[in-house]
Amino acid sequence: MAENRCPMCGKPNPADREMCQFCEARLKPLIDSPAAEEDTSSLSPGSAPSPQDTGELERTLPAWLQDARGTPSQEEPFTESPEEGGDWLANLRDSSSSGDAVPSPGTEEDDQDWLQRIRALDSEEKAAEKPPFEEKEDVSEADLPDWLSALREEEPEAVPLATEEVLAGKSAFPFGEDALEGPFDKGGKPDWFEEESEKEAIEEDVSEADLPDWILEMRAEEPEAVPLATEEVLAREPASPFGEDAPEGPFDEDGKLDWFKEESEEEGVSETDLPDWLSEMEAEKLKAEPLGEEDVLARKPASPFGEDALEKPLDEGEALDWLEEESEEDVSEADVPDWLLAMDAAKLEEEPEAVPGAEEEVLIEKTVSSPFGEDVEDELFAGDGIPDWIEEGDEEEELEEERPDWLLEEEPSGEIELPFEETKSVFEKPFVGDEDGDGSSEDIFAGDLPLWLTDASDEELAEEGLSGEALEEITPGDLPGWVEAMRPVKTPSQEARELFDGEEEYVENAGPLAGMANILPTEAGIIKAQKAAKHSFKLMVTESQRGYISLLEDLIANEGKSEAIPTPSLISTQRVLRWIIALVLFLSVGMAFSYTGEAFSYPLHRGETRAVNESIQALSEASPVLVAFDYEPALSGEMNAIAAGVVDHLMLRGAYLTFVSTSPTGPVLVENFLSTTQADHNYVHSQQYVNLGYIPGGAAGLLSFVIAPQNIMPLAFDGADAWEMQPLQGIISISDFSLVLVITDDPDTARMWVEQVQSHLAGTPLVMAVSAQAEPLVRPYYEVTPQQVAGMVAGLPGGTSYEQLTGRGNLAQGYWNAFNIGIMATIAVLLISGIVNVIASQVNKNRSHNEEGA
Amino acid sequence: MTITGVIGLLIVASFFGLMIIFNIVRNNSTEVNLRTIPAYTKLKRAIGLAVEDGKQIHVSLGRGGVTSPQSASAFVGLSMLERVIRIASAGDLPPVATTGNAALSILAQDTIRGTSGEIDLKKTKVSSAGGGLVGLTPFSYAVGTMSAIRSDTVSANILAGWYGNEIIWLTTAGERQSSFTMAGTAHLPAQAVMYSSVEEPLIGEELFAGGAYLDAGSMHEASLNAQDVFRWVLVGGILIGILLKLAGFGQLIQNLLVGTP
Amino acid sequence: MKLKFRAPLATAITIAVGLVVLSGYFIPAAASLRFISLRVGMVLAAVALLVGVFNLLSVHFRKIADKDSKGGYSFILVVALLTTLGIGIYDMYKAYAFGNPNFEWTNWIFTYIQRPVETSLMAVMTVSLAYSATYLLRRKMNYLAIGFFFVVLLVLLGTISLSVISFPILEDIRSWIVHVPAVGGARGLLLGIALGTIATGLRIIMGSDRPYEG
Repeated sequence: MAENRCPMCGKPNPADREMCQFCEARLKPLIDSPAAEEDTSSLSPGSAPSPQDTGELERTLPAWLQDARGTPSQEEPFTESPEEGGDWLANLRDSSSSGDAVPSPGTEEDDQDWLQRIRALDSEEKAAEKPPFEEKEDVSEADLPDWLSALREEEPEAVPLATEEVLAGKSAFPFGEDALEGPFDKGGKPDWFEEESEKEAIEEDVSEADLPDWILEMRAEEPEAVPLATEEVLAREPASPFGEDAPEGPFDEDGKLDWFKEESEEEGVSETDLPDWLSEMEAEKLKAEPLGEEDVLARKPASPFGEDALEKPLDEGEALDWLEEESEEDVSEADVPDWLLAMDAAKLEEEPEAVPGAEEEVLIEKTVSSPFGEDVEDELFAGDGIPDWIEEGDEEEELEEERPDWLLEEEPSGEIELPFEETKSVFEKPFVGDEDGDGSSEDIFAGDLPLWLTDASDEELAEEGLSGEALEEITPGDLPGWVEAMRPVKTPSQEARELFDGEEEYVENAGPLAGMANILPTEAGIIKAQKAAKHSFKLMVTESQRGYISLLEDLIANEGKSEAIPTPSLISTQRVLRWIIALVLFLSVGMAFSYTGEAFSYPLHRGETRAVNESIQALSEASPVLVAFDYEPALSGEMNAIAAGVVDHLMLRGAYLTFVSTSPTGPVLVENFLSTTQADHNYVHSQQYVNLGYIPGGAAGLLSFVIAPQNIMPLAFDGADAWEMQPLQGIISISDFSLVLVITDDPDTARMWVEQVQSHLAGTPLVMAVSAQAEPLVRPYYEVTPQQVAGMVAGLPGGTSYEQLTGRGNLAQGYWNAFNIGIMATIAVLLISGIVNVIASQVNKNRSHNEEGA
Repeated sequence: MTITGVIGLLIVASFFGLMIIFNIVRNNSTEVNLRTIPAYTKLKRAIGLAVEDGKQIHVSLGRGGVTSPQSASAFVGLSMLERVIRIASAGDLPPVATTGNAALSILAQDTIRGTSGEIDLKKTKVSSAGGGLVGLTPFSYAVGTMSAIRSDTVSANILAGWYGNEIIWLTTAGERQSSFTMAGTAHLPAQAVMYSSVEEPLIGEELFAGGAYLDAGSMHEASLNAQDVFRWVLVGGILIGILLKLAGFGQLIQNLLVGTP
Repeated sequence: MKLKFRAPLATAITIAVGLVVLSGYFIPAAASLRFISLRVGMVLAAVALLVGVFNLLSVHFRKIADKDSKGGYSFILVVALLTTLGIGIYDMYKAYAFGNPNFEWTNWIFTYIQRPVETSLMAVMTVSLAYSATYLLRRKMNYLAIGFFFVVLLVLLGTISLSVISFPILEDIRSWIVHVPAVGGARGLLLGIALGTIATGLRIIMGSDRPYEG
């Protein structure tokens, strides 16, 4: 059968009982929500805390507490309008402007509420320099309980002892040494705070006037114990995840909920105003044997409310074991809200004398350095130590305007201006567990005072035989729901990681605000913003970029160096080679001219050559023959030798020759040819031959001449009427010629004659004397059937062969030896120079390869 | 009309139609699918370098006449000259043109003036662009052109036109100047000479593709496509002719070509 | 407003003349029109030659006037051109006036100046060709270059007719190279060139290419 263990006495009870049969404590919370019940019942050690709906517990609060907290707000849950989406201050303004809107537990109004109270508290702190952990003493001196007065008197002696013990490493306080340096000035105030205070001196004056006398007295005692505490604090080792900038949270230094404290301050709640149960409980605690400071430190290495909260008024009191349990079990040292500790540290510096020994230990234990390091702090508070955001906030009127009204109203009382203007979604999301945002999940603080707290007293506990030790024995699994709900949902380290990972939503993990989303994350926000400055300065350079860098460096390094320009050698290898080739060819051919013997056999007679010979041989005497001289003077050496035998044969046959040319130099070339190679024939212009001259227009002109020769070329080279001359008698069209001989070095010219003329010859044979280079292109016209070229003499071999056919030696045979020797010399030159160039090419390759390798 | 004439007419007409069709297709498509000819790729780079260096580009149009089959290569040279003027218009110095034919020189000067007018080139640039006749014979033209190639202000040479063997002087002159030289001609012996003497020769019909590779217009690309089509037609015709001749229809083919029954 | 008539007019004339000449090849009725166009073309080509000569003169006159340019060669060119032109006119005058059309002075200039100069240049070109054939191995050391080089050697070896040493096989090799691969390759190239020529001509006829940008 399932048991229901009493959350107070820890004894098992039947599951169906609502009240503990031993201590009469309520076993089941007064919550109708099955989910809540389930959550509560399912609690076990190590299980993750879950938000609890404790709104129904609100009514169990004492009247004074309800009055202080106000009734649960019936307002609509805070919703962020689009216009205000990025302005949390505006949201705050709206919330505060609702006037009588009482913050409902677990809602944004509640968040706002504690913020307001923080400001109220800080304004008083600034104004009155009140020890932060003596909020409970803001009641008048007369109202102080005796034990507290006695304790205050003992404080100076307690300091050294506590310091020594702290230095012995009793606990690891999560605040680093930066907690004393960072934003706090020597007076222990944050720099930005101090600046704000200075600027608002009038407001401070007003606050001072409101200060109670005892606070003013304490202020006079403040400046003394700082050096010792500071030195020892600096020697400590760190562990704070948030550093010195831990915000001032909803808890004051003695562990009170701020709303509770604030109500006490504002409404003048004195000891006498405390509920009876609380007064009695404190009285019992005073009677109980107080724990020494050593014990306190040993037992409570860290409290979320500060050691003083445990040591001063309540540490001895076993009646608040739930708080102690919470400190020991749920709130580790790392879970201590940094802002709270930072505030403690700052105020410890300010008021050393007022700090009891335990408080001094707290200060010392706060000397753990910030995990964000000094770099972050330096960046955050460079120069005068004022954060940039504070300066900007001061300087820019826009930000002033953006402040909510309530904040402006609070400023005269020393209100701390919230720095996290960038935290836009502070109230964006509802309390944890109220993800729907519908407010169905009530604030855990609505039931933060359980029924047993209101009903039970120490006396009752004594009656039940439950001492403080017995209460401590309550297992974690028996934590009541409201306490479990107060457990931090996340550890600060987790929170920090999330923040660093860029998560926007900040959820408070400790204290009464545990689980609340989007409260001001103080340092976390700043650190988050400053985290970007922590980027590594190591450049990410790729290999190609390294290459460019080295190249640029080389360029810069070599920029000033003068590099000798290699002077080209006057006689390069290639120039020498060219000269050698020229000398070999010229000398060999020149020497060959002097040799008249028949060292080289004449070429065999080819068919195309014999075809030309046969065509000429078939001509009758005085047959009109059209001869085209279409070669350039430069090629006259070869072409004259090729054509000499053919023209000689024509003249031997007594043919009338008509010369034309499609080259401007052709007519002169004809005259030169006749005067040099055929001079012995004594052909006379206009009698045996006619030089019609140059046919302009290329192929078109040639075609025109073919179509109408008399119209196109009416005059001879000398201006006489050509067609009246003997050679052209009876010639009307080109087909009237008995033979057409084309002498050309250009295959395209030969092709032009074939394409433009051959189709108009009507059986008149077309023969050609072409250079060796034109032979391959003309040969197809000879080899095709029907033949477009009746025959051809190609190259010097062809000319020599033709001369052999006619039996009349001429230029070709005279050139034959030189031609062959020249070819042999050319072969030798090609071979030698080819080998030289191959070797040179390989040498260059090897050289370049070696240079690349070097 | 002979069968040869009919075939010729069909070839010309179909060529014309294909060019029109391919031009329409080209205009409707942004994709340009031309095989890579290294000479034109390097030419574009050489033009860019010349413009950057403030140097001139020399365009030699050869000595081919405009009224002969040689004119085709000369007209290609003129198209290149036009494109080079446009591309290099941002340079300090205009391209310089040389010709070896009188009629071609007139066309070259006309091209320079017309193109320069379209792109609002300064008159000083136009007047120094040349385009004049440098020689009437092949060797005189070659010698006159060599002086232009050896000019210190010339960094690239485009030899596009009709040349004989004398082109070797032009190519070797460019090589000695360490300037980029691209050469192309329709003269087959000159192509053999070019192959051994120039870094970037244009062999065969590559010269006629110059306009398309220099973005002279979509019609140039369309004409290339038409040439490709007819190249395959010719290959097929040659193969069919060989088969018919092997089959004993050689005489019939000859009669058809000559036009006799 | 400046109206540009030249370009459209030139384009229209070009297209018209091109179509006439082209149709004259295939349509006998258009032969007469083609002939007229060809005659006009011939005259214009001859006039263009004169225009070219005068253009050549003007260019070199400018070079002579320009002190920065090398005007010495231009001066020699202008003097040679004017001298040859004067001698040609004198020979023409003699032929018409005295009936002595031997063109003595013109022939002298050609025989003793132009022809030796050009043949010398041809000889130098032979050296350049031999050199370039060998330098090819240095510039492009690849299979094509090696093949090109050895084909040149084979053709040259096959051309030699040395009676002492007979190379009949080399002659056959040369003949095969010249008549088969060379002709086949050349014919293929010519077909491609012919297609390119057709395309170029049609572009001009269509007005796509206008080398007459007026």
